Amino acid sequence: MSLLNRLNRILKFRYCIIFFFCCSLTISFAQSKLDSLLNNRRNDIQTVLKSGFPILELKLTDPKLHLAQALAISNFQFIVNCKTPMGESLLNEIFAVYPARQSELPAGIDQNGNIYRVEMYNYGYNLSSICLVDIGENKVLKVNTIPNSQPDIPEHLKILALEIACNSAEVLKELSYKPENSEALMASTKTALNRTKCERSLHLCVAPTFVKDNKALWAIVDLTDLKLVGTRWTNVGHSEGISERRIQNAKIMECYCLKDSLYKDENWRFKFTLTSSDGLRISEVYYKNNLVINSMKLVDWHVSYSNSDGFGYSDAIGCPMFSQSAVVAIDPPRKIDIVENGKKIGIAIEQNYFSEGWPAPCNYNYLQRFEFYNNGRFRPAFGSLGRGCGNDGTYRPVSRIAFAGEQNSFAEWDINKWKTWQKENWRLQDILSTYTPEGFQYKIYDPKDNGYYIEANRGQFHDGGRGDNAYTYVTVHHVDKDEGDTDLITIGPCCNTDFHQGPDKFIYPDQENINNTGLVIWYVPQLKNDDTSGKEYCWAQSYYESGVIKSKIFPCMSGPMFVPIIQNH
Amino acid sequence: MISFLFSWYPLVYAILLNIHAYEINDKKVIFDCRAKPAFIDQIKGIDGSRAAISTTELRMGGLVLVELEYPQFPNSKRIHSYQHESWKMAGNVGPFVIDHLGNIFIVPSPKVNVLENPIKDQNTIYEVNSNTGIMKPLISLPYDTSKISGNFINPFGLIGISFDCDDYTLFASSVLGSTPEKENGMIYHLNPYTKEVISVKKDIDAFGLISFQMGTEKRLLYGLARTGDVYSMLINNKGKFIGEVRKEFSIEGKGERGDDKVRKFKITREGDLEVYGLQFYYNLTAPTEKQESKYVFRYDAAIQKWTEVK
Repeated sequence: MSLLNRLNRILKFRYCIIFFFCCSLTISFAQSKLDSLLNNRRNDIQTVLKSGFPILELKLTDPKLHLAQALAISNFQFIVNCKTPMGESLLNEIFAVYPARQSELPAGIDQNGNIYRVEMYNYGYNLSSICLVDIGENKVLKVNTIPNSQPDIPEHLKILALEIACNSAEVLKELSYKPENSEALMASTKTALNRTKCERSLHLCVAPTFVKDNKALWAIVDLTDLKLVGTRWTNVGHSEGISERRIQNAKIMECYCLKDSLYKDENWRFKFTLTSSDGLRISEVYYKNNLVINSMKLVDWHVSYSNSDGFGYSDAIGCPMFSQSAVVAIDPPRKIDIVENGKKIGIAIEQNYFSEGWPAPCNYNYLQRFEFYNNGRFRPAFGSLGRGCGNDGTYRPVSRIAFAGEQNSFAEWDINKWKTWQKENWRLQDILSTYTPEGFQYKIYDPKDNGYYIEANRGQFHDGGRGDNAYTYVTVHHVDKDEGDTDLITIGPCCNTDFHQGPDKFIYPDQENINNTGLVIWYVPQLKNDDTSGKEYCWAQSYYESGVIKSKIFPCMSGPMFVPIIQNH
Repeated sequence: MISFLFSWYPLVYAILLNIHAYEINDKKVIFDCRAKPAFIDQIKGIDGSRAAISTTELRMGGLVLVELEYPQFPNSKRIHSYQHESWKMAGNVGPFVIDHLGNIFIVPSPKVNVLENPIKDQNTIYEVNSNTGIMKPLISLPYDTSKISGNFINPFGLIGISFDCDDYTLFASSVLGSTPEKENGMIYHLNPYTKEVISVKKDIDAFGLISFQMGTEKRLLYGLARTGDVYSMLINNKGKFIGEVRKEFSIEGKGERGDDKVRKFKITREGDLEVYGLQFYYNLTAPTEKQESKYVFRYDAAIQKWTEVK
């Protein structure tokens, strides 16, 4: 290599270092600007909420505008929604004060130069209040409240939204560079921000949009929670609106419904995918390179209400579009480390399902959680996060676990010994059930006694669960007959209180031999909800925090633990 | 745009005997010719003047005749309710129309689950006879059976129906077999009395639909099931769909949600078009009522343009 070439390379390298230094300085500076804006915003909110008069006013220098704002916020009708009926402060903010246009005035009133319009947004109730004041007469002319609506946002919120968008890792990743705030202009609309909808959260959202080549990147920013909701590319001129719901649905469909994802670590390897109606399906599960499970999934949620005979719902969970699910995934699956005494002992994959309007009555939120431990244990767990149609509900999730291997047998602990089942059957976990000293109720095993003990859930798993009172069914896994390997439609009605939960239809009328064959275990816990204060279970309720509505959850987690037999030898 | 809480499929309580019409180009256009089903007055224990047909009774499923405390409020207390034993044969049911003789034409529609609504039955129109009140399958509309297998098959078949008071025919829209990647839906024009399928338009996922006199042309307006756009196609004097489809207007971005699809159209006495929109993503719904919004559009034949009437 010539000296010149070497010199060039050194110089290029130095330029690169300088470039990266400058870039990181810029990004770091931008990030600190965003942090500063967010801190100021949060401080302003906390201060105004503590003041007892929870309205963020516009900082106005024009005395006329200032007077108009003062007149409006001293009007009881205008501020009537600023607190809940219980007196809790909700966050409100004046978004605009300006001379009213003639078209905005009621019939019979002419603009005399003194009539101003004041627009206020209520973050807690997601509503707008509009006030017309006459500063000449010092009086309020009209107040109007519009539920589920947001006025145009003021300049300082536009700046904040742009900072959030331009500094988000997701936007940077999509554009492959850090955009300037001024790039979020839509030439066609002459506005910096596209208004957009956050239909699910009912929050104040806007969508800075960045045009790159012939495509537009929409970045939805939630100005209630001060965070980026998501991004979506469209073709420029695309007529379909972009909203929180569309972004969430598209992401879930493309990334988790229409293709398998793979998880792999030094112990476990498996695929996971969201199904049309059987929730998150985990399949081809290997522990230390041995196939142990063909698939695990949650087929149905049966919800019955005891005070109303025969009343309830049979819900499927799954993908948010083109599915038989009424309660759908809106966020991607999450991977969570399971830590005990500061040490990682396994991982969990979690998936929530949500019906819009939750936690309002008759809306549901379910959680699926698959735990995989380093020592080979695993646990398919599932819970309801409420709230349902009443406080007398019983949830019966129907899960299906198809074990690997074609020479399995099944046994239950009978007082002091293992008793092998000969035929397809079911059993209820009740006060007469007996367990080994370790708490095992069943085992599934092959001729070499490899397999799993099944540790019944009696509330010992430190997840708030209170025990399952579960039905367990064992059926033959047929290779030539689909009894649930593919997506199952709803297999049982809502409100049977006995073993007729759906899996029984694969047992009767001809109970097959289950010795030395492929087996499927179906597991149906029975979880009774409770709304008693301090004892809530399978429940959720709304509360107010920082001026907006939040949800408090009381999950009822269920599911047995599968413990490798080999480990206990 | 007016918003309100609305059941997935509405109650029809204004059951009328008189015919409503307006005129375009000296032609009388009949937009509402519903007659009161004769069987209603024969049911003991139901006051026919307060009766309403419901498809959304939480605990009953199927079609239900309810007597309302306040007939002008569809969600008011039910004084009595009645269900003929045949009215559950279609499982959960969705939109329906009533013809000039009082016959009810109704389509199945899964709600919270598909337990009572197997996919193979979702392309059947059912008829409740005006005189006997008995429900029977009217016609199973043709579809490609190969389209209803696979993982992401939506649970719906027929989702829209309208009655043409001009020539007493039905229009129906189906999304049976449509997938995320492909619109496999069909629009049907049929004679409910001879069961003749007059015309079919394939590979379109349409939701609400209605025939509409636009100047000198009679066109079928239909809302798309995937976006808020409204399209139309020409209907010739033999009832066949002809020519290219064309976009008329859109409710995209409008309303409280911004992602409404057009579920139903209704022509007003003044000739305006009421457009009812709600959220639809080809999946089932939680048991709560769905939010629906109403938008009103007016067609100016002179300039061939739609404008929204605020």
